[in-house]
Amino acid sequence: MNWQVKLLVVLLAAFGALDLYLALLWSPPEAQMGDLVRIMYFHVASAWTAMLAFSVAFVTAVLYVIFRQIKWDVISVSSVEIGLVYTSITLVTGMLWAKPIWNTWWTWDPRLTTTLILWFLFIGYTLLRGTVSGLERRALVSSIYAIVAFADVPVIHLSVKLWRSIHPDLITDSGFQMPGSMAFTLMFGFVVFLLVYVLLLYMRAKSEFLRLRLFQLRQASRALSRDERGGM
Amino acid sequence: MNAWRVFGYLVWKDIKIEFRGKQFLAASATFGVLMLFITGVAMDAAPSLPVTWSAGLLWLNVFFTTAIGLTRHDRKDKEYGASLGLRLIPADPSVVYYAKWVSTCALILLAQAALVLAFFVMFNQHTPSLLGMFVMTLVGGIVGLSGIGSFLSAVTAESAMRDLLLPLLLFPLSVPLFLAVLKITVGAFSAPAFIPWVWVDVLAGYVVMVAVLPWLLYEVLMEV
Amino acid sequence: MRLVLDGVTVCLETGRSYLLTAENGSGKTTLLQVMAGLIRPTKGRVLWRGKPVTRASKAEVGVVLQPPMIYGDLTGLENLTLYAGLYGVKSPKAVAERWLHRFQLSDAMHRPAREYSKGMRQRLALARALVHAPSLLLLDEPFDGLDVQGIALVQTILRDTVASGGTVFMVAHQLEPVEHVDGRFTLRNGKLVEVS
Repeated sequence: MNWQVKLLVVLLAAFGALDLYLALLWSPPEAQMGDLVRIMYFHVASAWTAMLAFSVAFVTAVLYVIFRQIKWDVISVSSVEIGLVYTSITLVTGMLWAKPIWNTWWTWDPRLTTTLILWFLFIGYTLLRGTVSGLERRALVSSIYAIVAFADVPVIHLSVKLWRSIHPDLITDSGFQMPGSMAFTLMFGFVVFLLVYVLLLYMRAKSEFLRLRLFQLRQASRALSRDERGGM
Repeated sequence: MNAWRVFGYLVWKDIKIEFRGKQFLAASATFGVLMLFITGVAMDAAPSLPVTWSAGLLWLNVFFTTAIGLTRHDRKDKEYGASLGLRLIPADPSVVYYAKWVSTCALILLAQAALVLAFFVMFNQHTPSLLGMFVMTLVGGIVGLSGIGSFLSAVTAESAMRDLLLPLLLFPLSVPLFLAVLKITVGAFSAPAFIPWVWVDVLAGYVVMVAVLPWLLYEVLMEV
Repeated sequence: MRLVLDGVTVCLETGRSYLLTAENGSGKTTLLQVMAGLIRPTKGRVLWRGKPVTRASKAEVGVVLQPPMIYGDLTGLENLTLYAGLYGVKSPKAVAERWLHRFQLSDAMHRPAREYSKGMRQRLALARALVHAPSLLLLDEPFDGLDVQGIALVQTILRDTVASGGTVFMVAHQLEPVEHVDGRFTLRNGKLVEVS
């Protein structure tokens, strides 16, 4: 780790502590949900970050298919993995939130359902990737799958929404009037989550590049020792 | 035209090979009927189920048996490496894909006919009020399902865990299709019957998506 | 996931035959597959008559790989007719029959290829590669699994192909069946070396 990364880590630790303070202490309780509303700051921020991570994975997958440079695949897989972590956080916090509010762990809310399908889609991505051999082959197959999976997400969301439309939307985009202090906390939380994503993406991609470099060096050294044996 | 000739030869080849052994058809049809029977048992041999349930069970079994059968269908291409030979022919690779889609679709339709027949008998279903609508949903659903299935079958071709992975990727991706055929089937069986047009749109849209995406991506997928 | 070939340049001229021999795992099959267009090289290109390979030029290449690339459930005749049709050969069935006769498979042509012996399957694979009368043949171990008569037969057919202006590039590890060739290569550490 170079000093810039170290600085970013320290900075993020401070921001994270501040985010916890804002979300758990500073922001006001909500009229109906009381303190339970505080889960939202983590739930919504991670959901947004997850969506962003999968979008990055999609764009880099397209770039890989066009340019065939391995770096795009490296960024793509790193982003998917981090996106999966954020999606898991979204699902778990969503369930924790649903239990006291709706008195059930799971509801077939369109957004929650789509998120779970999204989670399955990209778990499938990591499994597919893990079982295909050959550097280029693996990169191409997983990029194409990522493109198709991501392109399907809006269709899935639309159909799930249509399917559940007979039930009232429990939280609509506008039905949740937020005072300024809550909106600020939410946005601050999102920025912190986003920065953590950027940091993780950088570190994950870097470790993948190092692995590739190691692989190349091993190749070169093997070729070299073969030459020596051959007396050339 | 060159592409149509290649397409014709490839479909003829798949159908001919299948009818020589009939293993895929026999196994899929038997398995489908068995699954439906087991579902009936699981429902405690209910003499009549609400249509929202029975339609769901029908499509659940159709999707499930198809997902299991899909990995079997291109085994003959792999056995003596013929799939490599198909990549050498002077034709657009997407023709190979569309031929596979059409032959897969035809065979799945035949195999699922047994399952649908068993559905009417075992689940004590009356003839749907909108029979034409129901038949078209069956065909449309299987066209879409075999389309996304053929594509995923190409994507997972080199995966070491293919048999397990294919259904795992297929189900999440086909959720819109599943919901659409389900809703239209419910509409066709209900009394009075109705056509949920919005779901007809979703079904049509999904089939178009499945038809166009491979055209854009299959050639890339085959070239390495 | 490894670098197999490195800085290989092969230049083939029409009406000549070439042989590539190298130890196992040296990348000779990979080279053949790159030339056949089955593997896209990370760097470098394949040129056909000085131009990049196109769909039309694929029709002029016949390839034999380790797997015979046939269907076990189809008969020998059906296999050849299928490929002749896919390559757009006129009256595919008659052409298929002619090649089966040439490869001495006429007696077995109505039996499924699954029942063929290894040598018969190899002859069918060679017929499959020749059915559209290609001008370049890329052969991976063409004598594999053949008996003495089969080897003689394939040698004759390859000689005829070269005599009529075709080009043959083959990869082999046994040297005995290969007769005279115009050029010999070997691979050493992923690099191509010409042997005189």
